[in-house]
Amino acid sequence: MLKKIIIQGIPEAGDIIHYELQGGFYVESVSGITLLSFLIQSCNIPENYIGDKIKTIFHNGNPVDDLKTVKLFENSVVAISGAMPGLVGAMMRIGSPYAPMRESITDKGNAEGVTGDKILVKLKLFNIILNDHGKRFIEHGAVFDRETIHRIIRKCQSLTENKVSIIIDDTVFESTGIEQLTDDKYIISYSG
Amino acid sequence: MDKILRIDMGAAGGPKMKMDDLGQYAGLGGRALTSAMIAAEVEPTANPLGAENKLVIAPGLLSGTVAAMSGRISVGCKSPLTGGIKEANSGGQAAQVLARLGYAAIVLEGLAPEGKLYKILINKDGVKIEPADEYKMLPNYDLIDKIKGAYGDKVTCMSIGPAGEMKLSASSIAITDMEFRPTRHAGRGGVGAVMGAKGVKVIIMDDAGVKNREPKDPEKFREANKKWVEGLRSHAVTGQALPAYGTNVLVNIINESGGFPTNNFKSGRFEGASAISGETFADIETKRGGNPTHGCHRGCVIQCSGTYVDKNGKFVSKQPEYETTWAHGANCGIDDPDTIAMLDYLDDNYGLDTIDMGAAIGVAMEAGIIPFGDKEGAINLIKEVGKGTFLGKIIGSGAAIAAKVFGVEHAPVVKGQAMPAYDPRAIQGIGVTYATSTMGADHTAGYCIATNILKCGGFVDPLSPEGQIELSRNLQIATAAIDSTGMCLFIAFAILDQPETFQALIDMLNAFYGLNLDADGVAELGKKVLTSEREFNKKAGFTSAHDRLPRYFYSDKLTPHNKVFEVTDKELDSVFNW
Repeated sequence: MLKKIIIQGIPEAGDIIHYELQGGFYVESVSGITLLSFLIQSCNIPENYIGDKIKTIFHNGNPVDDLKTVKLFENSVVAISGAMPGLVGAMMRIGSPYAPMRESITDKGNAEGVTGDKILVKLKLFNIILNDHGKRFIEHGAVFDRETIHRIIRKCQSLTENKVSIIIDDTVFESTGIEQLTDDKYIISYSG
Repeated sequence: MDKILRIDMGAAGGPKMKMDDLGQYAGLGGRALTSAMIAAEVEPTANPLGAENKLVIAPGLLSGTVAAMSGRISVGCKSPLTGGIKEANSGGQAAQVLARLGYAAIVLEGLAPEGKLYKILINKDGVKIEPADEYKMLPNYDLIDKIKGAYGDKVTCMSIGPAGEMKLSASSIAITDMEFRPTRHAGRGGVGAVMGAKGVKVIIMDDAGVKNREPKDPEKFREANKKWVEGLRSHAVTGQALPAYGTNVLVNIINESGGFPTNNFKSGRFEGASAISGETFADIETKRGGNPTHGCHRGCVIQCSGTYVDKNGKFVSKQPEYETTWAHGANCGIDDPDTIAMLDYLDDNYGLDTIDMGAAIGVAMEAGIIPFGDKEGAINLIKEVGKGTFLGKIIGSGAAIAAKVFGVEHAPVVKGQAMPAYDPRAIQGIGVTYATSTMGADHTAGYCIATNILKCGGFVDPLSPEGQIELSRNLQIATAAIDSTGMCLFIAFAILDQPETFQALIDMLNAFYGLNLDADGVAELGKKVLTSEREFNKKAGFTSAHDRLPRYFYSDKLTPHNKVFEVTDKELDSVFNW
């Protein structure tokens, strides 16, 4: 079980966590799940929002055209974004007419099925998706690795310069000592 | 827009001007006009800094009208950076003002006597050319401050900084924005050096007392412009992503694609990407009291620019564009927005192309002049350019020259011009355009106009292996055509997805000029422009050997995809077969 860190009422910390969602956090899912099912079932993103707003998706750094054929496994990294400008931005879009120009890195999916094994998928939220869904993920609790947790605390002056109380699994810690956290990953939750 | 102002800067007794009618150039604007004039009037083997070269400044076909987004101005010449034909374009106020004043083009000819510097004043009453020795070696911001004192802040300026006066081949021409700041630049190819060679420090334009250009069919024009604006506002890119985050919104996704050149194109991912993303810049600007949503000229409805301020809320620079953020950020291993904004300001102030400067500093870092990630070192290198030291002149001459002087094999250039912010090993299609563009490595040469909407080159099968060659060809044709309208390139996103928005653009052109242009006509215009540019380059000595990427892109694998550039020479040579 991952330990949960709860930070409340420090807007600066909320902002920093929000922008760390660009670098990636973890969402629990099952091995072999399709990208589309992952977004709907594991991320609770409505299907109509996916169709209307999510115009660019990468799986392990490869642009995706078909959300139903690309499947996720342990260590999968998914990045989701709105429609992007520029020739290359247009090339990277889902089903872009310019897809041949990035054909060598396109993720064409695979046939492996769902094994049911629990996995953690690293999810990155960019631009309008970050704006629309970032807050919800943070309020429910987003899983970050230890290095990211340390970076969040180092960046947040309110936490590094003052002794602020932070709850970790029902235990209250002083923020100035939180860098001693040693687990690989933690759930971090913020509410204003 | 029915006259061409020609000024012979080398005439006996001082600069002499004359007014020409449009003649053979009637119906052309922007890049179509600059390239036609250079191809027809400049000897291809001429020295770019010599008397035979010309600097042509031309607003687009719809500039000076109420058409939204029509504020792009083209600057053409033989490039001192590439040795080929050049068109560099920019936003800012100049296109609108020059067009309202009735000029289809300003042509600077001849060579000013060594050490002489002039200013050109244009208003509704005519043109004056006066000595400007008091402006010698002034950086752009200082120059604009002086002009404000003398002429007020309602005028518009096109100027060069010290880099242009020193005739450095990566020097730009600055164009003032709505706040009368020199933040917009015709950046690529060393056009500032050509203006410097002509001895022109600044062109001051005042459109007081003149009105917008009137269309032949005002009613149809108004209706088309309305549809045009609706199309731009309703599109996800032009209506949402660009206004909210600017062009720098691309950092995260290009980094994710593994095509974000890092540490002089050594890898395709930058660890500090999220620290310099458009999302992060917009957040900083909002919190500090800057502005992440701002236009670069009046009549802009996309508003992709912004204002970057320091921790005390004081203006630092415009919001750095994606290319600038990449060039001075990831390419130099720098992940600090404040440093990138300062470098952007220094480039604008001295009059330098941010892409070639970032690439040159990346080369200098690889050579060990300063280490990757050295923020202060990068700032000092640009300051060296401003001071005109030997080191500064090397950097200010661009990445290709810097690599030669520093003995670095890895110079990310094509035809002498630095590659922009997309690694062609990860994104092979962009490499086709880098290699074959008439302009040298250029990301805007093949922008995103819908191939199958324009129907140039026929329908492209996206699954065919030749797809990326055909796409690059069609995109270059379409871009050349759009560059001739004076429209901002970012309209391309709305055109890509919304055929009715593209039709609105054609309708505006037809209503304004009384034409019956269709999509095929637009494609023909693009082909004509590219053909004349290719012919010029051929006569200047370019062969198919120049339409190649540097060899190391074919041998050094790029992480994380571990790819090399795989498009064959034969395929590259087929791009211009039409």
